[in-house]
Amino acid sequence: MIYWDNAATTYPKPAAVQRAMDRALTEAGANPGRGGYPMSLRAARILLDCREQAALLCGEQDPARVILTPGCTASLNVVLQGLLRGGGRAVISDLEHNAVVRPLHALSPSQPVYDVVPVEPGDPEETVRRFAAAIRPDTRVICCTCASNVSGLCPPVRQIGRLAGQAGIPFVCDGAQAAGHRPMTPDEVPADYLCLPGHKGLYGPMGTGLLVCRTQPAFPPLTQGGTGTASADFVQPHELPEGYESGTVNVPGFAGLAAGIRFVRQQGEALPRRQAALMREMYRILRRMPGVVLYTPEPDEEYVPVLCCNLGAWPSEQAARLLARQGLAVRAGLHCAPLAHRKYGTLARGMVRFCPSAFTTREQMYRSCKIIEECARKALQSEK
Amino acid sequence: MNDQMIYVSSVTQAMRGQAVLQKHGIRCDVHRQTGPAQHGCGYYLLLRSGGRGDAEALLRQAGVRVLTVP
Repeated sequence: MIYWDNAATTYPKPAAVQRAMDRALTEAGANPGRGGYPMSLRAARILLDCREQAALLCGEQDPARVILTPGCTASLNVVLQGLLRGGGRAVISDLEHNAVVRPLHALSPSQPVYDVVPVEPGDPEETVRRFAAAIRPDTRVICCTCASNVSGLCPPVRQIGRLAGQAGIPFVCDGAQAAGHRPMTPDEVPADYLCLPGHKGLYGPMGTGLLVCRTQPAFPPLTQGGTGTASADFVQPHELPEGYESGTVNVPGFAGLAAGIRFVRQQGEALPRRQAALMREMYRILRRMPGVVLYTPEPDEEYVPVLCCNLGAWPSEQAARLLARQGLAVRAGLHCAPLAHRKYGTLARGMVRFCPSAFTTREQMYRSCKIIEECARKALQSEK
Repeated sequence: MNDQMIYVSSVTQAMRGQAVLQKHGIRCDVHRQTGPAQHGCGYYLLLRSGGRGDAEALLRQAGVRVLTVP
């Protein structure tokens, strides 16, 4: 199998991630932040280590501002539901994942409380102008993905963040597809709340996510319960980070995520550069192939390495099935991002998505292109 | 011993605080609150060297939330 579904979950994980998780289970298998005995303190230290790694990745001084969550979706729910708890509207891009759209839609299904702004590829100024025009007096949050999980297109979050700051509106960024590929520092992603998954470009395990609060949340946690602090009080503490982490935190998972972030940080810029070059080369090969339908220009700095295509007139799932039979693990369909598919005109048939990881080789890419060529030929033949 | 104990709001703050103090040559351990607590469960730093005044100042400077000292 050649694994191309890294935009969903990276596989395999670095050996250090597996070792860290194993060590956590065997040496720190107690509840963190609850006990005072050595193993409980070891578990708590693992969580702090993960917060520190995440803080370094995101240019955040205070690791206590990193909330550990079960995933990026959970992080987004905490923030979006929290910020709009008292009413108001959201401005979002037309590239957002359902992790953003559904929580907003659920707030008022009959009368949506969000305004969708089209991102203009290649024209960041126009995109920012559109965001500015969408702001209303009752806008309470601007939320934008750092990179589309469908096309890899990166909206100008730096400028949108500046706009939000000038307007005094909290800016939320969904870094699901960009973390590990793009800098997440405040200069590049000036988000008040940065939501990240652990299991994609940060090479952690599933069930881990981060919420980096550059602004102290003025909203209550979504989940109430035990925090290991101020237990005599029935009122949920709001203090970062424990107030937003009720329940037992996934210590083995965050041990793995800490190792994953270390891996990404050690690789530095070489890792995203290598993957971007690989996808550019793949794009150039696919562009020349009869029957392969591409939806973006050749990816440049405006894109993270996610490549979507279709084969002939086939529905994407049909193409993915044939590719799977030939050993390619790809993701087809709508990628939980119907807004983006509407933008690219593929709502009816979806797309086939390819995304490399640190472990994808050029040889695998060449082999994959041969398989795609063969499948595209079959797609064209079936149309005759 | 009480004058060597610094109460903090959580285990995260305790461990951050421990790192801050150690960086400044002040040795301390993280302990679970044992006596009857004002707010319930919590953690404290037990200083093994250095004065509490200096340690508290360093902690506050580093943004570690120090609770009321009993």
